[in-house]
Amino acid sequence: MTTPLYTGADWSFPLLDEVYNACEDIALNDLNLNVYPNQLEVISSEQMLDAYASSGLPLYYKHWSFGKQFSAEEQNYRKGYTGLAYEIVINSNPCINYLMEENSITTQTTVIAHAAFGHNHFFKNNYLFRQWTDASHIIDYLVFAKNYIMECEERHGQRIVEQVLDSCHALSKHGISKYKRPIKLNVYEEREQATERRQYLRQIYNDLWRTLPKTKKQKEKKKNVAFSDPEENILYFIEKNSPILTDWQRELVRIVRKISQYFYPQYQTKVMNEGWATFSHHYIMNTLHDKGLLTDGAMLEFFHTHSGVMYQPTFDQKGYNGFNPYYLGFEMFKDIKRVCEEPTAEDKEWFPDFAGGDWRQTCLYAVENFRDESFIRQFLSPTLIRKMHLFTLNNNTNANHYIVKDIHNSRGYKSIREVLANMYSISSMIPDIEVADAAFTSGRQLSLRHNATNGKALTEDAQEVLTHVKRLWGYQVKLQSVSEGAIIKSYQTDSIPQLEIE
Amino acid sequence: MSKYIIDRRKNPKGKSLSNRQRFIRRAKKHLTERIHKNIVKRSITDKGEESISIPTDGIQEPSFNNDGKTGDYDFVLPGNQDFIKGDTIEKPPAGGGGGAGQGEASDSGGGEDEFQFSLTRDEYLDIVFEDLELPNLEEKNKENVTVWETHRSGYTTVGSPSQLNIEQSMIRSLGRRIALKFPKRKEIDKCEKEIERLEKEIKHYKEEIKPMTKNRAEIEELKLKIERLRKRHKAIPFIDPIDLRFNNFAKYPKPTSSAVMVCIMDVSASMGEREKELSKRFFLLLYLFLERKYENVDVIFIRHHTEAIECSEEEFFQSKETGGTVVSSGLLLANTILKERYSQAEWNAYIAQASDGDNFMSDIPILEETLVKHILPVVKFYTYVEIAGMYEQTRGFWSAAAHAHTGMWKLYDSLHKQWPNLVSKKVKEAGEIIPVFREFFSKSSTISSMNSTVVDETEDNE
Repeated sequence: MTTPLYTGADWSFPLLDEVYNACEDIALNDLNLNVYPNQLEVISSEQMLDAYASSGLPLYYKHWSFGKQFSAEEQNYRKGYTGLAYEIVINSNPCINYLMEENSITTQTTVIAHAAFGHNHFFKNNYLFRQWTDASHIIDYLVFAKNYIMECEERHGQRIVEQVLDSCHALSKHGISKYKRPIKLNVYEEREQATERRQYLRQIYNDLWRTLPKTKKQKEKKKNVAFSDPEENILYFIEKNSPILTDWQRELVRIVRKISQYFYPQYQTKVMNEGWATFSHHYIMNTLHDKGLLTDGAMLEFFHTHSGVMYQPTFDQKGYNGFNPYYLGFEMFKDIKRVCEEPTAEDKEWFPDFAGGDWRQTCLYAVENFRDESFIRQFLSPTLIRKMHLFTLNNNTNANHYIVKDIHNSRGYKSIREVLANMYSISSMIPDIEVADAAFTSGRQLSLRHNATNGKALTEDAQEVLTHVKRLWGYQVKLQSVSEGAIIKSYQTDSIPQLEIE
Repeated sequence: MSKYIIDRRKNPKGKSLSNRQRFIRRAKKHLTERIHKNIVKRSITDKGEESISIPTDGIQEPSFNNDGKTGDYDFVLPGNQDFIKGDTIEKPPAGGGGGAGQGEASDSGGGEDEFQFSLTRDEYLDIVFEDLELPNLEEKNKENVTVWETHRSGYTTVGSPSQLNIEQSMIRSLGRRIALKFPKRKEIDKCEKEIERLEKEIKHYKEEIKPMTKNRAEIEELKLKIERLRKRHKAIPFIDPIDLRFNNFAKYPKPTSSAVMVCIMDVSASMGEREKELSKRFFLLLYLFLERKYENVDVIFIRHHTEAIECSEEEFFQSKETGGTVVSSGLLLANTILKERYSQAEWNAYIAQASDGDNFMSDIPILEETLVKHILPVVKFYTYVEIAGMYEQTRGFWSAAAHAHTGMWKLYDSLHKQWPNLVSKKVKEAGEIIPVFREFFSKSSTISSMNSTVVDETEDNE
């Protein structure tokens, strides 16, 4: 009989170490996870609140909106409306895990299993994270961004920097290249090159050149500056083409879109990422208990926290706010395990390629190669649809009622799975808006086009966002919502040119 | 697999502090508005935080979002009980989130019209007292109670080793060594190498062939030189006690600004619970304000009916004495206390008086004399708050119909022209306290000294 790792409720550093090793043994040798080195950082609740306000990043540039978020979180926490998260994990190499000092040792164990192994494995192996983010450089880049923005504030004043950032933030979700993969961040090189270029241009500047008559070729070249292809990354377009931004302002635009791009895979894998981390901690905790390393008391405490995280109210219950990604993701991974271990005839029909197969392999395969949309499309089983009593509704602007389209029966499974997967597609989370045209030569008007999926219009905020676009662009900005070739709504700003941000 | 466990709890917290200040600065307009409106509802001495909600305009962060109410699309919900295909469900009323939550994930309470958060006491008072200043503030030196402050003050030749200034000491050491021609190690090395070279040359030729006397002589010379250098090296210390310099600290007397605030309140029968409550609020505000401006503030409480007594704070606000009113008694006592305990050289004196304005007519001349002869020349600022009757219309500054004024009001009114440091105001309800207070102390305040300067300028122009 092995002795349990601990019997009390308090944690200590040596104990954390032991617990980590026990979890690691299961994670690496049983679950076959492949993780970045871990860095566990114990922090206080105040520090946790601080971390909240900066999207969990260990350092972030300064902006009032983070202060607003902080004030709101603090108020909620102090008044007891919400508890604090048990952990925050950062997609970096080494992987930084924040553990809160108030946690009991059981919670710490859960958190280690959840974040240090579950999330960590996901970050390291999921294709989106591998292709889109650069874990080893993100911290360096954040340091650069913070210092750069601080320098700008000193040089140009806080107010103007704040204005540029406000406008960039309004567009941050549209600062993402969805198809073109970003080049890996290499902060030092990039920065040095940028300054060198600027320095060089400054040195060789000679006003005389301007007075030389233009050759025919040059004139032609100038004429050819025209808008070519639509651009989905609005911030990128502005950074490269805005007629009014100065060097440092372009750099700010760049910083906001780079950081936005870093978060892009997280939008798309919320369900999978949380689901996999929850599945990992559930498996690791249970295995620890089976091995006799956890007491029954600790297990009871674990189940209490676990079920709290997993709470999924039904649509008609108070507090329903969409699907709980922890719950949906966890149930799906658990279901994959079930299909592998005890497949029913139905499972064999739906999942011929892995029903009865090796669940570890199947799960790892899923983690590596899918995002929420495709994961649901591929792995949501009829069993789970029945368990969750899923049903689809149709919304039509003109109707006073929703219409029930499908329920959890054999005729509905396919459609429910399809609709649920679509709900996690990028275009239903972030409106599809692109730069449709820019008049470079006359008027300098910027035209944006919103491809309204299923005729979904934009919220009222759109008009205000346009004024932010105009601040960065300087000239009139127009936006049209287009659905099936028809314009359903159009917005525009005033046409008074504003030659600089003031 | 490597891991690190790091204790970060000792790291500085409050990383978000500067972001928070930025936020408060941004929301300032709304905050000020709300605080001035709500301040009367709260006791100013409340320790702790002030929860406040402000309108969201100006602190919104707009972004493009799908409007879930529009369009023709399907969505999935969990928890079907008894719907079958084709059923219809009523849409939730506009505004309510209800069932269809797709794509409407609002972060940090977006969508609400009010943004709620907490201000700390300091942040709160900062806003309350923003743009206010104390007229005639002076830093006075308390000669008998000297406060000393240590400042750096150059270097000394003696001191404790912990205060040794290495840089300064080394500069002197270097200078002394240069002056005394302290031989460099290099120089000795050079000589030694030269000897070596010469000896090699000697060895190269056989003695019989070439005696190399010149070389031998040179070697002797060099050896002597080395010896001299070595001696010198030994004789001149690298660091000498005369090189040492120590950081010096000197003590300077520090001027302290102190204020004494005398609260005088009428507790005669005519002052009811409401009147006392209003006076209390005014006194508290004044106290907090003085406390922020001066390092130490003494408060003296004097209550009076026909005679005046100095009392404790509790007695001041809670006593239930009644009687007639002789206002001058309070002022005379204040005068005695100021003279006896608070010398003008050390203390800035402020008097705040609250009364309902009732006074024996026969007391008015005495009151005037006391004020003009003793009080007004001494005090920095004299505020008089007259608590108006519940149903009496509050009047504008100096503008009300004369017949409505009490004897005291008339007296103070007339004195104000001569003594700009005396100001008076009528207050009827709690909501007026802050505006009155702000009027007393606002930077371009109604104190007529300001007005008179304006007049002077115009005269100059003419």
